[in-house]
Amino acid sequence: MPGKPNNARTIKVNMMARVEGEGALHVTVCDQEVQDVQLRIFEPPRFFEAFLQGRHFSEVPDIVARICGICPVAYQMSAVHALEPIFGIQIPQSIQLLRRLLYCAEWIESHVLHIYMLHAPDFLGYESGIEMAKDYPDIVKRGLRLKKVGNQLLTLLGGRSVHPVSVKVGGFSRVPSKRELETLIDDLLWARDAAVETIRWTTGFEFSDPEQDYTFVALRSATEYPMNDGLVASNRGLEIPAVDFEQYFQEKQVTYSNALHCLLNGQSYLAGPLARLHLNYEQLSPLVKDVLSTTGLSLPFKRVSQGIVARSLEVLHAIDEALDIIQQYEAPNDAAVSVTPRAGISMAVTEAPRGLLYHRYQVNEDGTIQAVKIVPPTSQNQRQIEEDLRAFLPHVLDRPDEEVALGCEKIVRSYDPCISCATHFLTLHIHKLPA
Amino acid sequence: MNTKRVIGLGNLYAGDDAVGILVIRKLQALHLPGVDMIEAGLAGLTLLDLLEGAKHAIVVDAVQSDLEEGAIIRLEIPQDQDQVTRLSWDSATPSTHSIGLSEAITLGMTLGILPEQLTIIGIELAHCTTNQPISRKVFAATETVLASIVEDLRKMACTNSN
Repeated sequence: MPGKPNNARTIKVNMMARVEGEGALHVTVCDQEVQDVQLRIFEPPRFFEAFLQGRHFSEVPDIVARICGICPVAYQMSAVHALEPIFGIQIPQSIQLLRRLLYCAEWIESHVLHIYMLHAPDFLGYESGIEMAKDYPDIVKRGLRLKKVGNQLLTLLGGRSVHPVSVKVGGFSRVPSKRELETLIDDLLWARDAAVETIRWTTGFEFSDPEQDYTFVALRSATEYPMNDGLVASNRGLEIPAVDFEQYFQEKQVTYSNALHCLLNGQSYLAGPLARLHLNYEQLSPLVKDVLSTTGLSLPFKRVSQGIVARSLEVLHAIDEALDIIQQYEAPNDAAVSVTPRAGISMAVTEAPRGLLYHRYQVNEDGTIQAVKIVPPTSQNQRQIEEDLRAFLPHVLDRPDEEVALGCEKIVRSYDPCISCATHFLTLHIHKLPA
Repeated sequence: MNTKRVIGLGNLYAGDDAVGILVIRKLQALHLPGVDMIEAGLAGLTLLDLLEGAKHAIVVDAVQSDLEEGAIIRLEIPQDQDQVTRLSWDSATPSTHSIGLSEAITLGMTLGILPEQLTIIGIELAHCTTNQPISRKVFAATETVLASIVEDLRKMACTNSN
């Protein structure tokens, strides 16, 4: 770095493990004070917004699904919910329920992968989920089976477990029969018990990162634990529809990262499970509330590491709700509402596993996409990750470098960042400048 | 699903990484009975789901080690389990996929959930450049791999009928 004294120390941890994608973390320390924290995302920009231009609206769900192998449904959901108001179509409740069921599947899959394979090793002191499996085989098997239930549900609704192909503007290309969905009930009932055990397991972990007074931002809905519905809300009084998102949230270019930082009126905020949980406690299923009440933990969770508990609670909610949806499901006569394109511009926010996902589309009269804006959850959390690290570092600067580095990595992993979505490789560099 | 499965891993759009998928497509064209031919993309942990309930399975993937391009590596699990790390990508290669073939197989071995008979066939790649065609020698290897898989399946059928 420019101006770095010759005797400055650099600590480098090659390849930060257990994050989706590649990036690096640079920390500059001078005289036991943190000078600078930069989360550098150097994966090249992916240009999805640009190459959607000129495409037909009907191609959008399949293209945006390719932004992420972990949360393709989120991209599809934000896309269809943004495009449909332009064409003035109403989506029947049965299709809305199926979309919710599809989102439940993705939350289960994505959260369980993070809880069991990516995050739990930090609490139990293992390098990886594979190492952890040697000492906790039954727990890891439980995690794999839970994840598989999510995969099965996603495959049934989406045609395959990654990058589903059934979602379209107006509905689905195919909807399942009630009988097809009912084949999953036994697995979901097993998964519900396993999700309760997961909550009991994760609440027993030690959460030692500093408490923070977070600005939580998530959808808040009067009718559902938000996935596809609700207003963008915060614990500081914000409550706006998706159409106003860009008035309040601005993306900012930083020189050291290929991902934009999204800020709420210039300030950092936290999106994701902790925010959703805090803002939507009332919408949790009675079972989740019951289990939460027995854990001895109370909301809001003020430590980002407690995201593992929040995810566990959301997994239970998603399973409980999936069972509920399957029970009340009646297959619609038509898998999709017919769409006649017209010109317009519209926006939507849905709740990806990692948090708010904003899409805006401008379409011309023949349905060709003219402009697109996509704000993924990880770009929203980037600044908050840096601020968490600033708060954390003073507590550990007297410790050996390896310990400092590991502590930082744990905080970053608590966010389940999806760096591929945000534009990937987290390498950690600590620069220690002499006073 | 059948208890016999052949699973191809890889990415059609990434040069020689397409090889696992191409082998599966050639196998599918043979319409062999009693065996599932599965294109599994970058599978990761999902590979373990695809192996669940299988008695005999063959996994085909491109590998990057120090062999000549198009060279074929054959590992029998569990006998060759100490060689599974050969299936990992070069650690200097930036990879977004922290759970690849080697890690999934290692986890499966740790948990004791792999099929009785699991063969991994690796084909040494030359490049995995996006949107570039597969290398001549790597493509040529698909015929050798195809023949060996057909022979394996024939032997399995004989064993099963006994």
